[in-house]
Amino acid sequence: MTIAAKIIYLTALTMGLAAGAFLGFRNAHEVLGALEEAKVSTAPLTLGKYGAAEYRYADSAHAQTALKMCADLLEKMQKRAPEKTGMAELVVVYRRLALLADASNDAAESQAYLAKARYWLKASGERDFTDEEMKEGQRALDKRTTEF
Amino acid sequence: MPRKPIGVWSSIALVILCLGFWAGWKVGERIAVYAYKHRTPPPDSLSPSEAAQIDSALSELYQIQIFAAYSEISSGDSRLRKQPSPKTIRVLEKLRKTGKVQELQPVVDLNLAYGYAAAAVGMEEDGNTQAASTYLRSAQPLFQSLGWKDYSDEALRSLGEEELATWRPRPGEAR
Repeated sequence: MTIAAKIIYLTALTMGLAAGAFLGFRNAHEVLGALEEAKVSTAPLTLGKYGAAEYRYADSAHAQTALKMCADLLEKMQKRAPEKTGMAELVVVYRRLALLADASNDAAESQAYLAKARYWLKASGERDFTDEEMKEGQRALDKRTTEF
Repeated sequence: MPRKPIGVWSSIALVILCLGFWAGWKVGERIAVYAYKHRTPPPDSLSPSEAAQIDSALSELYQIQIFAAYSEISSGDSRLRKQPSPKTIRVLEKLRKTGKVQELQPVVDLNLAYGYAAAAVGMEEDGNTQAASTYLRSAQPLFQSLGWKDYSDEALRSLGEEELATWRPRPGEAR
């Protein structure tokens, strides 16, 4: 093999490796980014569906356990990557927990949950609501969902 | 050494270029996956164990969402409903056994139960009442463990219809 051939082959190998590595990295980075975005935005919806079903059909003990688990995971997800779908689900979860606390005549717990709902409402850029407005809003939303 | 014609040289160079590109692509992909797995979480947010738990939870919830949706779509479409047990339901059954995040067990159970209810309605529409009954019997203990107040056959049929209606085109809507 002549020196010229060696240089040409080595150049081809280097160019191929460099271009492949760059494009392969960029492609995988984009795919992983899109997958991450899909995971972060669909997870609150899956948890929301579970919380809503338990709130609507299960007994209050199971509903409360389910909603608390949703709130815990959703809050951790917000710490990891804040996004609006999760914040909106947290507002709904805490308002439902407040309504369940009301049903068991625990006013203090209901207020604590409403305070958390208000925190996430403000974090998502919404205006402030009174406790009654928040509970009424949730009742109306649940009624509409049931009718639908 | 005899001189090779320029066509042979360039062909060999082209093959080396392509092989180099392929190898580089694979290396680039691996580096991206490594970087993704070892990315640093935002400071002062979650402990490493919490971050790992949330990563697993996000992956599991994504799988649940995808397979639950597909199992309902396939139950509602007679062209996809050929086998006695839709494959996607089996995937959810497997996820129920292999899931890493303990807290998500009831979420898998709910979606699996919804999948059974939707499959039961689909089977009834096909006139396969035996399979429909088997699906309903599989769904009931799951709904019971989730604390549901009503998990009668009638309630589950109506739930299955509700689920299938989400994925079916409304009357007058083009397919």
